[in-house]
Amino acid sequence: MNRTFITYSNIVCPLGAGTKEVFTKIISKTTGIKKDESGFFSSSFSPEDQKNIFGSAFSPASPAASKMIVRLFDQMVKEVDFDIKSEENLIVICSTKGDIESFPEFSEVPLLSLAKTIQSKYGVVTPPFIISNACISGLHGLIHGSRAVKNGLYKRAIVIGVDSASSFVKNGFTTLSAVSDKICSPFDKNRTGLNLGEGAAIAIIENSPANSNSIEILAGCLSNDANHITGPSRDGEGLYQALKQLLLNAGVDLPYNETLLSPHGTGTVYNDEMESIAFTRAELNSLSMVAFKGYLGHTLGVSGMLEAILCFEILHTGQLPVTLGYREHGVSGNIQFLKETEEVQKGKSLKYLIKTGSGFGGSNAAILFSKT
Amino acid sequence: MKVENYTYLNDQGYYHRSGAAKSIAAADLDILYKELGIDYPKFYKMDPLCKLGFLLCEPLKTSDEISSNGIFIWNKHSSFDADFKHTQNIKNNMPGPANFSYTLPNIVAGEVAIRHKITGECGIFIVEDLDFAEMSKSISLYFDNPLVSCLWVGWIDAKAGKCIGFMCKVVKDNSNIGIFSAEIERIYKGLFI
Repeated sequence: MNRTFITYSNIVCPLGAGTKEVFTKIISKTTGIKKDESGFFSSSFSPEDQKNIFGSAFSPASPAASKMIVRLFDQMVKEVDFDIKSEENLIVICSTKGDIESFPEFSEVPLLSLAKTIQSKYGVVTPPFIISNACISGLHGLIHGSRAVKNGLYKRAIVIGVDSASSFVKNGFTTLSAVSDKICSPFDKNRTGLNLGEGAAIAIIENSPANSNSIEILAGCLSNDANHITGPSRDGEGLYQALKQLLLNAGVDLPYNETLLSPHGTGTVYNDEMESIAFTRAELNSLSMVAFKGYLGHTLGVSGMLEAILCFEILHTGQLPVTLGYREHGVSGNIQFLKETEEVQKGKSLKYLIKTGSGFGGSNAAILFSKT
Repeated sequence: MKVENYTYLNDQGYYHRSGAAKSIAAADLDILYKELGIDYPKFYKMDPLCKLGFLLCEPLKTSDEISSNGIFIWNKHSSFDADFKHTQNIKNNMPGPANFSYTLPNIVAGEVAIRHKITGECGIFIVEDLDFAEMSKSISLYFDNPLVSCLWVGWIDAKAGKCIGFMCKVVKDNSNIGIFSAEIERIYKGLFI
């Protein structure tokens, strides 16, 4: 069996185009979440973002999800030296809704349309593999892609995750009373819900590292709560099982003082409490932690993948951001985030990352990464 | 991997089907459920895609020790019925949480997981057409975990009153991916003429 490595990755979201640009904003405690005219808080591309991030190559009116994936694909094609069209590549697209609002008459399946965009723009013959698994879609894509490469089925997996903060989802989450009327506060005592966000992420998985910036995927697991279709299990059982399996499959004696844990952390009362219980049950309380949704909003299907790529910057730079929105500890599990008012920690020696995600349908994902 | 059992539906009744699979109207899903003779009131809250998945998976459970096993479903139209209804509800200024909860295709796996207490790996894959070689390669990736002895896999689709699909119980054995791919294609072509 091969080992698997992320040899290339990139992200785009309202905070910026490019992992380093977004990470710099996060280190300076800048949030991408803003209030719109109707008083709704979200991290969405503004007309100015359209200019700065997409430029004139992309029309402001063009659908958000396909615009984001083309933006990342265009850049990737310029920066790699292999043929995208090769049948040795597995292309995996991960999204909950794609450009759901571009097809008001439902003349096309939005997720299939994303795949067709990649096929027609880049001459890819084999239809991309499409994963739609709620808010763990991107993490599932990384797991699927790495297993495909590990088992020798493909030489390379190109995983792309995307979701947009459409009014389809804005209306939906509002009816679930899941949305906060302020910037969200993951794991905070006074948290009142999530903010929606949008973004895209791309990662290339191969069976050897490209350079010292490559990140190894050591193990990845999915699980199901088998409890409720939208609410997480109160005892965190599903996520705990995924973590338990992950640590068993790790193949390394994980040094917890060198391991970063990045949870899903939506800012809802139930999600954050559930995660703290799962992490406590898995005895991960001593790990350094960071949650990103105070900067990015909840980017739905791509959230886990986008946040994992930002975590790679933490491993590389040794800088641990504060968890924006976290001011006073508000969950029963004793887990440690840097408070919003604290300083960014520098010089952290972190080699491993556990990234988790949870989503509707009872889905959970956990992936263990390491520096090479 | 090999197919140990498979299910499908047509208009001949839940226990009396023979011959080809046929697409069923959404209203007939409730009739088929009644033929099952079980008491599971949550069924009536589900959208057509989830009801269809529920009915197809019900006969697959043969033992109590399947919690670590998983569910992987191929699908084309995603959660079309719930999506369309949500869009209409928004136009009429009345979006509702009950319907919005179903606007994700993976909810069908979630409902089946709740019913049978399946806590393993689950997912939904969206395709234009079934490619059995690709399907088989993908299924093999979810037998990585040695605790997994079987997976429920299949193709389920529901759109505007046309509900159709089949589900297979796949177990580990020494057959290679190519042999499995030919087997699942043979089953599919036998059902969906």
